Amino acid sequence: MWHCPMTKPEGGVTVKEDNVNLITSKQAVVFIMVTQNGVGILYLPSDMAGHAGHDGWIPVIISGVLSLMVSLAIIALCRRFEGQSILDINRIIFGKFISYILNTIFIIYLFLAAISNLGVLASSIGVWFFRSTPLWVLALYIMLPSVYLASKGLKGVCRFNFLIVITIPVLLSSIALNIHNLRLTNLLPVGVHGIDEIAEALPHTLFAYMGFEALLFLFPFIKDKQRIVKHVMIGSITVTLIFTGFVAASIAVFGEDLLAKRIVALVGLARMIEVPVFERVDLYYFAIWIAAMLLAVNAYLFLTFNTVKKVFKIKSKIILLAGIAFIVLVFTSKLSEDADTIFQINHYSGDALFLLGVLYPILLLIITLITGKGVKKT
Amino acid sequence: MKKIYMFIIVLVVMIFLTGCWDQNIYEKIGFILNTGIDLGSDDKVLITQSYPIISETAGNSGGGGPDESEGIKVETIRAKSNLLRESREIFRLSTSLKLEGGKLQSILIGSDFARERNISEYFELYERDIQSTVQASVVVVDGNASELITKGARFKGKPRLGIYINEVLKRNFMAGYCPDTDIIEYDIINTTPGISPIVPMIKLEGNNIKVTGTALIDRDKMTGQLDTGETACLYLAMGRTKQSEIIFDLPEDIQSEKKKGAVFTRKVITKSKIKFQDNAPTIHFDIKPKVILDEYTWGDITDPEYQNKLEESLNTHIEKCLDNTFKKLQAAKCDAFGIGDKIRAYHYDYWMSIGELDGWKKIYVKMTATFDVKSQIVRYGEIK
Repeated sequence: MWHCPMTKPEGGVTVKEDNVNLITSKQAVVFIMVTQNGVGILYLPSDMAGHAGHDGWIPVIISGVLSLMVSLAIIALCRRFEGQSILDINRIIFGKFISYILNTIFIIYLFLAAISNLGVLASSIGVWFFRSTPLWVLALYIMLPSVYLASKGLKGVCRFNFLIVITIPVLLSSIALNIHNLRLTNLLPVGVHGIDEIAEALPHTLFAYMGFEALLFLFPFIKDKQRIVKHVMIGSITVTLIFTGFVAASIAVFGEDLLAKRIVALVGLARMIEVPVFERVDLYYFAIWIAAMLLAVNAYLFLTFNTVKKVFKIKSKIILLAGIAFIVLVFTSKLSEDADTIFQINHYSGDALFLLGVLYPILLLIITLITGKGVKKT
Repeated sequence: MKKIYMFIIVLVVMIFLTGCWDQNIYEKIGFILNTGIDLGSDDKVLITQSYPIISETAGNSGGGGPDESEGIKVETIRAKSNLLRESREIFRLSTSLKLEGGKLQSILIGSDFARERNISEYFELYERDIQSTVQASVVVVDGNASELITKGARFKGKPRLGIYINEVLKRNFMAGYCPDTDIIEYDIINTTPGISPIVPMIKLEGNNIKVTGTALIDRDKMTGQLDTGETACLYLAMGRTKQSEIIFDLPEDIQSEKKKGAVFTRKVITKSKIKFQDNAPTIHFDIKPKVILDEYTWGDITDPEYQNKLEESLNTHIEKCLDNTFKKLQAAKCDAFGIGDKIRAYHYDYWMSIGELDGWKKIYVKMTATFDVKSQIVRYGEIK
């Protein structure tokens, strides 16, 4: 039996003490799913059509399988360290000083993720509804409920995620109500874009799947850790199927040429929906999707708040939340004024996710397997 | 107590959330119902727009002055410009209303413009601007769109022009006499290789608007047209059930003063198959429409032999119509059936070997299409 040095988690708060943050494995998986569904999916069809043409759905499936495998690797890593978070694992493996630097890098990543998600949401509301309203005003109002939820703990954030029962059916209905517009020949012939183009498109799917890395931070808060593998698998397969179906449907409706020129396929699909009595159904879709995106903002704002609190051991919740909100607000307002910058930030977030959420945990797992660090229960 | 404070804070914040900078007053908005695009002088385009006036005071703002019909005031404005956006800016100079395209019913394109300019280039504004609709009908006007909008605004005893045009198009689309193409559908088909858009055609006739059939499009320009009967046949071959009335010649041995018979299509099942002969594609259509005999003097229709004669005559009529229609489509290089799209999807190597779309267009105009119609007269109603 291998033993890790049992340290008190950083920030001086033990897992048991932190009851407002305790969640079930189901809640953890829904947390990941809402993070993935809210923002990333918006740009995915267009991005894929631009990189892999009408075969754009193939890299989405491959990435889904990869994200599941990485999620399982993260679970394996956390389990070796008695269910602690990446912040504690870094400390155990690398010591106090290096872990401080590594954890700060993770904090920068979480800030980037929060800014990119909030930026997409604020600019979407700006384009869809309030054109003259300054972006910082929109971002401020969007952040208020997220900050409030973050202050109430992970349990509060997760309870709000029940909205997924509305947002996923809404997404699926955008396909169902366009079923008469699907042209299957737009998806044929399969595989004509070749392995090179499909492989080239893979990194671009990362931003959409962004969210599975939340397990690195959430793991200590999960009560029924023995069931997490099952729920992560169900969640990952569901998200992969939804993403693949949505990308394939978008290609089938618009064709690869037109889809590559659009920014948000959901907007295009919603604008095509015609139902009796209701006019401009698209506007209802936009309004509902704002809630879906808000869930992703909630998630990353909480993770940022909780991680900063732990790493820098800040006691005052109000000062910490206000500080984080201010930083996120300032950067979002400055960086989200045009679509190209938002795309750029999303790509940076995707790259950072690849390094910190994919490569790093796998590397750590390999190191711990080789060196034998961590706890291996008999 | 804490919750009460929170509640009060939320209430106070909500007072300021009344639309922020983007408040829209209904009476101060001009809802554009129709946009007309014609060729103008100096390489410019003539943009015509009409919108109803909701408030009396807003209507006195200028422009061409309100047209009154049946108590409804509609203002029509025109501008020569290079861009649609430029024309909107010109309109802003003469109206106090905020013009919005969210309720646009149809984009009317003059036939001269449709033949000479790329049509979809003028739709980009509606596609990009999320507050505009992409479900407005795209319609080619046989003649001048501006004239139709101006005169249409003064029609007596008709609904508002935008609604009137839409109702006429909808009814005729149901009957299969014209297509129903909106902005987004046009753009999708226009950008899909191997399939061409078709759009409805209308004409101003006195105090009426008449559907004249279908405008055929190739590479974003109008290249031909079909009449309403040919459009109905086209829909039969596409396998899309419409409630069309088809008039055909009665067989010679049938005694009738009318000489013509009429059927009403009820259901159609069509199968098409592409074959290759000497590396050249041919397409064969098997069309099985179920029809109801209409306006027929009681006779021997219950006799199977008699019914066969009528069906044969009807089949010949539809086949001839389809031969003629396909030739017109070929002459216009308009691949409305999407044969090229199917070849690209199912015979990709061949598609690449002919040089993709450019090569396909050359082959399409020469390809053979055969139509085998087997209609079945079904009885319906009170009379045998």
